[in-house]
Amino acid sequence: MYTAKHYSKDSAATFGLLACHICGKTQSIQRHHCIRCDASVHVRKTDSIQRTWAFLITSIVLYFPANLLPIMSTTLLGKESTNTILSGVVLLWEHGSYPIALIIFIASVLVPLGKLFVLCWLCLMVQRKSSLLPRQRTILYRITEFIGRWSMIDVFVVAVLVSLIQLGNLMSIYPGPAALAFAGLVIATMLAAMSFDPRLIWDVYDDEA
Amino acid sequence: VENDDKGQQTACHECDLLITLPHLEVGSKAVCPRCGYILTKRYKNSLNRILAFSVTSIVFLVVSSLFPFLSFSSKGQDRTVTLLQSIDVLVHEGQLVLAIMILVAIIVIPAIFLFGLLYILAPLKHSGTVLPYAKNVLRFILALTPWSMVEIFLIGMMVSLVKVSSLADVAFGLSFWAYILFTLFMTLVLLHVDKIQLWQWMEKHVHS
Repeated sequence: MYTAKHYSKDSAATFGLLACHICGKTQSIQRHHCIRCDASVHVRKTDSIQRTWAFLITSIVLYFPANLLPIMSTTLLGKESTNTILSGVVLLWEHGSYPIALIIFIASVLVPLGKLFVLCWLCLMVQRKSSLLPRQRTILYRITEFIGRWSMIDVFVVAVLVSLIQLGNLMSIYPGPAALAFAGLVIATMLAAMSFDPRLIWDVYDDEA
Repeated sequence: VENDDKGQQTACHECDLLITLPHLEVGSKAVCPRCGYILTKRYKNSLNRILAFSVTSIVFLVVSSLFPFLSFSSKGQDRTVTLLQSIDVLVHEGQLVLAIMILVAIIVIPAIFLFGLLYILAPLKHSGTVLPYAKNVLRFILALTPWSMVEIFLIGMMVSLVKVSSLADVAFGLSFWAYILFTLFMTLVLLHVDKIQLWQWMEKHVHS
């Protein structure tokens, strides 16, 4: 279990202060509830690293059904075909829809995978008490947190296609089990990013100096 | 509402650096010198803008759920759906959980957020009063913001329309255009919302 034993010398915690994460009000580190907004306050997010790992493991487990199971099936003139996320991207590419293929590939394949790697690395670096490139790691975290929601694009694409294209045997699209698994994956990675506390990166900031 | 940040101490949300906020001009922002996090930003006329954009967003959200959204025709058959019908299709396809998640992310959460914001800010603007439970409402809606996926849905919809365009003709209904405008104004609301500033407005009126 990781616990921050000390803080960097310019950190608010060193001065016995903390800022409420909901309203930003600065107050004594000893408070449990914010003096301004009553939110519960903590010097660092509770069990940040353990929770992040828990959500990361959930994400990794969901990654397999999300990518291996079909995300949708298409019936065209009585003929049915099923697609996974990746085979859908390949199909779009072969049909010459390069921009769409790229959007889906980036949002559904690269971003979730990248997010998992980045968060695992950030957790490991904090656990090893590394003081390497703290600013860059914080920026990397910020990008990860910002970009994660955008992976939902594919879920919405499937939803819109399914609801619009319902012409029986002529042309119909049905959702596959991967759609739900993928939505779960995105939610789990979002929760993982929210559980990670970037302030842990800075707690060991002055150690080398 | 004038600016009262000057001299106020705060800790950076992302690196915990203890910072004394400078006086912030309208149109400027305070950035953490250590990690680059945007601590707080000041837009011109932000209270009025948030109110105006929120009301506009609500109007477009209502319009976008009342009228035909999209229609689609191929080989003599056609089909028109409203936004809520399109979510209902997912329920019929056995994807109840997915349908609820989408409904919550693109309609329920944005609506709660906008009404919550009006509940807090309209009385503040009108008579400088703070309604009961305003603190709880503000805390709740701030926690909801990451789960609003209005703009992501819009992009997803564009992508699916491009995919469909080769198969059939797609026509846009009134609600489709309303949803685009809803997305635009909702984004403007979120852009102007600054949590530190919101709490400062509230605090000032609670004590005065």
